[in-house]
Amino acid sequence: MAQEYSDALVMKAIRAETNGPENKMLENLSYLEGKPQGQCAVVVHLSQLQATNRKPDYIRIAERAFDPITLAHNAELFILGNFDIILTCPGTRVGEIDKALNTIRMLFQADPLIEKRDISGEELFSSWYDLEEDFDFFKEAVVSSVLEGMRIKLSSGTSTMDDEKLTPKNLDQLARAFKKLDARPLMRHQSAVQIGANGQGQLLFREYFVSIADLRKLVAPHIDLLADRWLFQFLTTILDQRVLHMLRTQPLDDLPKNVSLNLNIQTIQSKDFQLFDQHVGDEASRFILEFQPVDVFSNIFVYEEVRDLLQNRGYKVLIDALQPLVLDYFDPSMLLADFYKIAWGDRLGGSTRKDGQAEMRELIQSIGASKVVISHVDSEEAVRFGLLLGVQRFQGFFVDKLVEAMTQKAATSLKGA
Amino acid sequence: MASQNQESLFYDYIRRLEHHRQGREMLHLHLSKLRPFNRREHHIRVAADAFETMVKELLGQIFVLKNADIIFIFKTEAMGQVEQALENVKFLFGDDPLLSEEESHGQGFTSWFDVATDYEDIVNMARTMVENEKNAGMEGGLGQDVKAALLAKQEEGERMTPRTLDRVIEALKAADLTNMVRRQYICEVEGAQNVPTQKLSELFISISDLRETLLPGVNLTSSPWLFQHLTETLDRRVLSLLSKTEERDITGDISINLNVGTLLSSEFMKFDENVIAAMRGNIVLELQQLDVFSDLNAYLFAREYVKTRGYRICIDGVNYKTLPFIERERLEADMIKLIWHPDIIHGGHDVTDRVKRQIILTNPSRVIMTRCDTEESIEFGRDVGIKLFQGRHVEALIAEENRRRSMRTLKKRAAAHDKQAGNKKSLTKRK
Repeated sequence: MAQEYSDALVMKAIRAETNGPENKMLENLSYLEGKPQGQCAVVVHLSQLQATNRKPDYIRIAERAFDPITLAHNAELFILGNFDIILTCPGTRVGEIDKALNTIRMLFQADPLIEKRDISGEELFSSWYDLEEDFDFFKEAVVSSVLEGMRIKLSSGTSTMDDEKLTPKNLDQLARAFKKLDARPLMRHQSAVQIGANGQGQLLFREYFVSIADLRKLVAPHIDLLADRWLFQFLTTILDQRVLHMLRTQPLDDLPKNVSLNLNIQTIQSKDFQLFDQHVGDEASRFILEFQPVDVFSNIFVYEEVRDLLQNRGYKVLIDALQPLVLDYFDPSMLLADFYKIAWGDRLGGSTRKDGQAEMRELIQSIGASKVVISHVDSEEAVRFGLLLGVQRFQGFFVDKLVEAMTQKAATSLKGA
Repeated sequence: MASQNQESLFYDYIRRLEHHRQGREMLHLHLSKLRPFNRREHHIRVAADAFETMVKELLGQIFVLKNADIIFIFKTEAMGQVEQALENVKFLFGDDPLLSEEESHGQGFTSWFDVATDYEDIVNMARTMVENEKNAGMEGGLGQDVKAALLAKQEEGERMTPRTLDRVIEALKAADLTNMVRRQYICEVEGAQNVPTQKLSELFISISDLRETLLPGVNLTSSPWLFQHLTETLDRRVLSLLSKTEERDITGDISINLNVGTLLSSEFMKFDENVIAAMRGNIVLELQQLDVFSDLNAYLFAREYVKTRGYRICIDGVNYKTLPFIERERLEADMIKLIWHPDIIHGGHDVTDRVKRQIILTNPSRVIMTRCDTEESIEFGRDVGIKLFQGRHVEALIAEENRRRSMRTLKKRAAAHDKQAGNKKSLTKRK
């Protein structure tokens, strides 16, 4: 979060943008302070949604739920920069407002926010205020929300707004530039570990990947490479070629014992992979190939063919980036891969209720706990939780720290010997 | 999709003979055992030609396998002709040691089978061939066949690149798409005569027309990712076309293909505002399964949004392998579109049974079987309780039904005419 802006500075920015929703909200607030009679207000805390749901398109659609109320009852609606929606409404229109809130709850039903309650059992999704009674509480809520809203605008306004979007035209130029790209300086790696019964960690594999942020700095500082997911996906097919090229021009001995690579399925059928495969020779079992679900389902026939081919050669196949939510909808183990990587997130961590936990544990058992890797592990809590679910394989920032500690320990014990 | 090689064609064929085994024989010519010099391409071609006339007379079916072996399955009545053809072939390879072995041991080059009695053995042999061929394809798979790739390129057209995509999108801006909008009917098919009743019509922009008009020679689908980007561009055009369309032009229930991303865009919001509320219930939004898998969260959000607006949802592009991943009820989709594939009935009993089970779990009345090019697809679908069908064969049924109907009208009219003229003779008698 952008904490470098003081409240006073942010407030000044709000006042400067006279027609901005934050300023309009504050103006409305001082008007209501004088005339709170018969007014009620609702704050919809959409700023608390998961990042995947905090998108302007989504919020605009959610806002429409209030159309009947704003049109008929002289109500005021504000969408702040942090995506919180604030509605103030004369007359007690609880039924109608609740109907609108329900529509929004349904839209975001997959988001953990909808289920969340505070200690007193109140939902975190929305707060109601009777302005005659609770004006001070409302004022406090509004001020903190407008400050946060403007803070977000200030910090993002300077970085991403002016970026050029990825288009077929600049993609064409990038694709050409990539043909000669040296992937070596852009390569990063992250370890996955297996945690044994004794709590000891053991290195499972190292994932090699291209840092998109560094790539962007190098070849396209002004282009938002992630602006169009399909064009970005195409870009990764070209990156695949460069990564494979890099790997086959260095001895296998320079690589860790087990390496995982993110590749497009189409790449496996290309000349580049064929050459890589020759380079790998009889050491295919050291490599794990990670595929995205979207790639798998874009042509499942090709996926099956490629999977069998790779497994016959000794490679391992991993399905990457499964949202925990997915487990409620299908069984990924039908894809017959060697590993499934599930991103740590609210659906996993949020299922702190006993029944949710039991259900998740059962799902993971049915996939095969030894095939599951939990990624994006950012805390000790995540590891502890994963272990409770029966998972032993982890990857993420927290694991990086563990690995660092492991290597240091190994180094000191080596010194001691 | 698996290309049909001779091994799998042989396997398909022999499986279809299951109920027609009587009166058929099979000859297996082991050309693969000949010396390498004797089994060059032209040798094999000439050998196969010897059976050609019988194939044309529908007396038999020939399969030339990857290893150069020839399989000929024929009706017993053609035995004389087969023996004659075999003599010619043997003559062709007369100087190969294999033939002298055959001479002395009576086997080596040829094996004979009676389809009726040896049926199981033949099926097993064919299955092994298919499997070996598949495995060989895998071993060789990593080594790409450049010639095959070039040939495919020639047939499918030049690969799509960001540059060609850019050209297409530029050209689209100026192109009039009105005459590229196609309509295909989704029909209920009933009765012994497969009588189709139109239930829903899908409006779409013909990709092949688009290709012909804008960029002949470019294969627009060669990169799935660039193609996805193109479809999102097309979505916006379709929405604006439909917004402009007069209400009376759209009759009955229609379905349109859109990306989930498009549903969340302001273009869709505009479209939605222009559509008369009552009409939303007549519109089915077809979303690709890929969209469900690429961002489930976005799908769930979009679904909720459009359903509360009154639209219906159909998940499109489901094939028999992804069917188990699509839990229609959980996804709260009104319908799914299942793409027909011959393997559903020819891929083995377990495949057929699995697909049947999953269709039943999905609820057959919520499934549209699409790309029905053959009668067997409709037969299979009706068998498991599917009501709705779409595809070339359905179009053919519609045409046939129209013909029947106009024949009936004609006959009626002729009869009425006859009656009026006081002529009691019937049409047929008059002929």
